[in-house]
Amino acid sequence: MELTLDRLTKQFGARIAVDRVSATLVPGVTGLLGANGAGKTTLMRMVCDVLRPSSGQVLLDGRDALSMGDGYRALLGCLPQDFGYYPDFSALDFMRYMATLKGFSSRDGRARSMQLLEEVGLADDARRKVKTFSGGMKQRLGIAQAMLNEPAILVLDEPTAGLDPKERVRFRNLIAGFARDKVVILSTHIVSDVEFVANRILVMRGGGFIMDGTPEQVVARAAGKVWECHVEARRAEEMSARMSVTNVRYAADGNAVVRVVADDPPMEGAQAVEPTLEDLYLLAFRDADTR
Amino acid sequence: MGTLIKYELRKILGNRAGMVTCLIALALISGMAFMNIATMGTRDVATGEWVEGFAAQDSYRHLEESHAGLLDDARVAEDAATLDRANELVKETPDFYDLPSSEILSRYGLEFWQQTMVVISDNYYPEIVGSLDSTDPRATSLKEGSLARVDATLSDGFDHYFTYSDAEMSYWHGKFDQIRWPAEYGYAGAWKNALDWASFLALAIVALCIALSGVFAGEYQNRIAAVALPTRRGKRSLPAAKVIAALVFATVYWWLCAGAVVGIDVAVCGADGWDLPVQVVFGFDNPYPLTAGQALLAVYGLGYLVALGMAGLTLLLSSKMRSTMPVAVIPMAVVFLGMFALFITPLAKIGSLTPMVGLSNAFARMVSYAAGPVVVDLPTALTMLYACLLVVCVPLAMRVFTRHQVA
Repeated sequence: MELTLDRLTKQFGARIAVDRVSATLVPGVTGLLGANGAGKTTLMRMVCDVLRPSSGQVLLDGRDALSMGDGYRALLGCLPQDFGYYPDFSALDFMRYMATLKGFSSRDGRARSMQLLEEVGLADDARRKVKTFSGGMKQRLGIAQAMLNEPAILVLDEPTAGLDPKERVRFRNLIAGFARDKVVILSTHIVSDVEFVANRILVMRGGGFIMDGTPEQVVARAAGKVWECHVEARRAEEMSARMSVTNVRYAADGNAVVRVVADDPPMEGAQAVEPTLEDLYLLAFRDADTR
Repeated sequence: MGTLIKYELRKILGNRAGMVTCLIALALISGMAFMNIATMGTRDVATGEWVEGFAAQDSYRHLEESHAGLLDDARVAEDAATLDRANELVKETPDFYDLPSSEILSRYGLEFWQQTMVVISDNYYPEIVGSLDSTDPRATSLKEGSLARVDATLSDGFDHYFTYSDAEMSYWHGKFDQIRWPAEYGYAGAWKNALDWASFLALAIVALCIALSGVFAGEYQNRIAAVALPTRRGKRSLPAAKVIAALVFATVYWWLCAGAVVGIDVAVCGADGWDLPVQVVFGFDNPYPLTAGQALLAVYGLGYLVALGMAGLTLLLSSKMRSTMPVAVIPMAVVFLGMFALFITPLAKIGSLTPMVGLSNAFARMVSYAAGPVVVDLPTALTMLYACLLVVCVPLAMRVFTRHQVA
């Protein structure tokens, strides 16, 4: 299966949110990394068929996905950013409602709903009203509903918002297990979300893709641009204010080890180190205008 | 589909503001229908005493029943002669209308009182003799007198708000010609009350529009559309289920309110008079060839169509707007602003097309719309308007929802 974004564009008035992006997505997790306002959510909405592109196409195995209508949507699982819910529905009600929308019979919908609530750790709260859930629980419910129909294309927009570290790990494992033969698009501005599970990373900025490759390939773009500087503690703060600092670690001797992203050595004695995805992110967005 | 409809109905019923409004409206409508009877007051024709509430209703019933029967020319002539005798006595007393009823009773006796009360209170005498002190030429039959009053209305216009064209006059004469004479008279208290109070069912229409305001807009407002639309049934079955659930709710709620009004009236007044001519209810200057029962079914059926049309309009507004508040306000304005339109001469006919005024005037008054030789009366115009609203707005609402852009 191939999901192709063919010069996909979305313009709101004079503002271009997504600008002629093209990519072919295959089974596996594709991480869509970008700062807020980079155009990720707009792109996700177009893929989910809830926002019409100004131009360009989404193609599924060469066919115009949007003209496939119900057939295309039957393959989709979507978790929108900041998704809503019916306050008076219980988690199970909501799941069964979504299962009905996804074409399940009442009995199958109930069984599948319970199975997924179990998987996301909400089985004990299945009959509680969603309005009483914490942010993390709501997010887990959102993930569960997205996976109800075992979608061939799973679109997750900022799925880990509100999740604590333990829940993030559980989510990552869930996605990794799920994505073996499915196209998963995981949009986030949280680097660690994609660092461990993505087979491919698309970095988005200003409505377009500025980087595309495996995590190693993308990270390699930052090679030779990440430095560690050993400085006095008071100097560390000064450096943070005027440089792209990804980390400050204070040593036992009172000095600091400052990790800086820069094209050139930021100071005499700076040592080049292996970059990480977080370094790459900072490199890509160090002068980004966040919309 | 059935499961989806159930969920959508559940969402409508879960809209607290909407349900509270519906319950308040139902309580108001039922309460007003009951109070209409409970607060009734009249002079008891048997005793001359002032009676109120159910006793007044009973007294009124006896009064009407005492006159039940076929109003043929002989019967009308006999009643008119009775009235003449009472009239002569009244003329002898210049201050008759200022006398308290106890004084009339003591001065003229119970028999006079009964004759006077019966003939004054009854419905068909104005068609024959006008008021007690009328000097107009007397009609020789009820049909002739009734036609004269129809002509007088057509000449005067709709409360002087507008004039009738020749085509409209011809239309109303044609309707009048279909009435069967001689007419049957009798008691039809329940149907009279139910028809008189049909316009208050516009409150039910407002309430159900408020309850339905969130059908589509609620999905946008609660940010559910982004989850529900990109599903297999999200753009086809879901909007259809929403519409069906909304119309089912409108149907149940309308007939619940209508049933409350009719039920209260029938429980208190009985079901007599179903087959009597509608003229017994609305007066003999009414040109509709219907029975009271047919008129009731027609008005309440028309009200149901109006309710569905307004529900359709609400669904369209709901699909277009992202907040439920304006969706609820606009149908409310349509219902209530129609009453004010009656005070503005050029808008009087348009005002009659709004739910409250429309239900009040349909079959009760001669309101018609003419385009050259083509004339339609108010019930037909209301049927066309609200059927169009329903047929146009519902598919449009579904289309707008299906094409909703989550941005």
